Amino acid sequence: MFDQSKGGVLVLLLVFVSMLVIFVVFIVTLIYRYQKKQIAYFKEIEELKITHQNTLLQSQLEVQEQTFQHIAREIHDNIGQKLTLAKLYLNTLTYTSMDEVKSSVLDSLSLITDSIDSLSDVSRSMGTEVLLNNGLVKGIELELGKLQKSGLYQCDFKVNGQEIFLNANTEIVIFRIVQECINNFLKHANGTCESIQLHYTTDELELVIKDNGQGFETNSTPNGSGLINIKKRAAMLNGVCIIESSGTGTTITIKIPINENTRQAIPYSGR
Amino acid sequence: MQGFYWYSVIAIILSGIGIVQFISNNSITGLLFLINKVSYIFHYVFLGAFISRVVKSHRVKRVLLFFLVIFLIVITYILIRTLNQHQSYVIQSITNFALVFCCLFYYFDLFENIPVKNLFKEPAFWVITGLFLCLTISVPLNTVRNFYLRNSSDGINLYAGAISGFAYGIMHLFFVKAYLCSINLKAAY
Repeated sequence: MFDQSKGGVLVLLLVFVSMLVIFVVFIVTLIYRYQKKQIAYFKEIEELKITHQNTLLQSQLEVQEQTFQHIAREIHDNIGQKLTLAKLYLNTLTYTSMDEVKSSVLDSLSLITDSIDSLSDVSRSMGTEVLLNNGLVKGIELELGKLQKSGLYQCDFKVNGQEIFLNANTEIVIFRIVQECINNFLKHANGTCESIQLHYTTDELELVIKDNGQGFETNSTPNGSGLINIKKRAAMLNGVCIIESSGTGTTITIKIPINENTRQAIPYSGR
Repeated sequence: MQGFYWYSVIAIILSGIGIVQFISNNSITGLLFLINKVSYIFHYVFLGAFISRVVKSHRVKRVLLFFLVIFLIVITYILIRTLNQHQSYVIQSITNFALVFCCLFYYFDLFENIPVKNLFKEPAFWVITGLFLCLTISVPLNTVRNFYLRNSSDGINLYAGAISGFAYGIMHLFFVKAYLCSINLKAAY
């Protein structure tokens, strides 16, 4: 009886110890594998963050590069030529006839005035003073006003919803998108009508830019259209850019989320 | 962990009933045995519901709920069939066995979701690990005792009871740790 009892206790103890060991091994393995998976997950997230930051940085550099190229082209093709011509007029002054001298000086003066105006235009288009003082809506209004003043184009601008003042950087990027679209319209669209709509909701700003131009094939991006820059700028604001185009015109829709980070905390001066 | 303290409260009451039953040397039968049997169903339903609540993946949750319901039907059927018998080891074995699977479902679910939890600060992890420890020890122990050593002396039963009680005590220590984690989590929020 004693031996049988002793054997039974031994069996029970053996079962107890074996199960305890199995349990410990199981839990340790589980925690180890979970933490390994956790580390891999966090590493992946970190890599994604770095990739996203790099893409953003690259986009910013490309946008900056494009701006520099625009300034360089403007100086070389427009202002530079006018100043060269003015210099040529002044160099070729003969002082034999007062009338010729007067005419050359007046021509040079006119060219220098044009150059100053062109420089002011470049400065204004690059500058953000209008936006900072008056906000995005006023900035777009002024931009379209310039287009309308030419008498060649019909412009339409609508704002739906209550305007939400966004922070300066966000508004500048949106404004640059609008400028890029207008630029594309002038260069490539061969259209006569440009319409811009802003839809404000509490958590999103929708910008719709339409024209009645000749359109283009959306699958193949036309050279120098700046569409890539528009997309990159929208991506910089965590937004979405949808481009639709047919033979009767192009519609660019940009949706930008509005949150605490993009809202303007303190109103700008002059608003 | 909301409402989990009820499990501890009822477990203490049921343990009290078990002690009375042990002291009376199983002389008080009938109602006490019925309470004992019903207590296993209570353990099963309460802990099963708790695990199904903490499982996040819908797929795992669906399978788990199906599994819980099937076993509940089986357990209830056995309870009704053995209502007049003063032995509860079959129900005990089945409920414990089912709960082991529930714990495994929880561990599987941990790997199904994004691994962002700190397991050492997760109350559900401590509760289920405590339960799993208790079951890992008591399921084979009770199986050996109830099915192979049934005719052995009382000494063996005493040893087996002591080991099971030890595992049960450790499980409640894990529950205490879970309560502490829960308090810390609430404080952090």
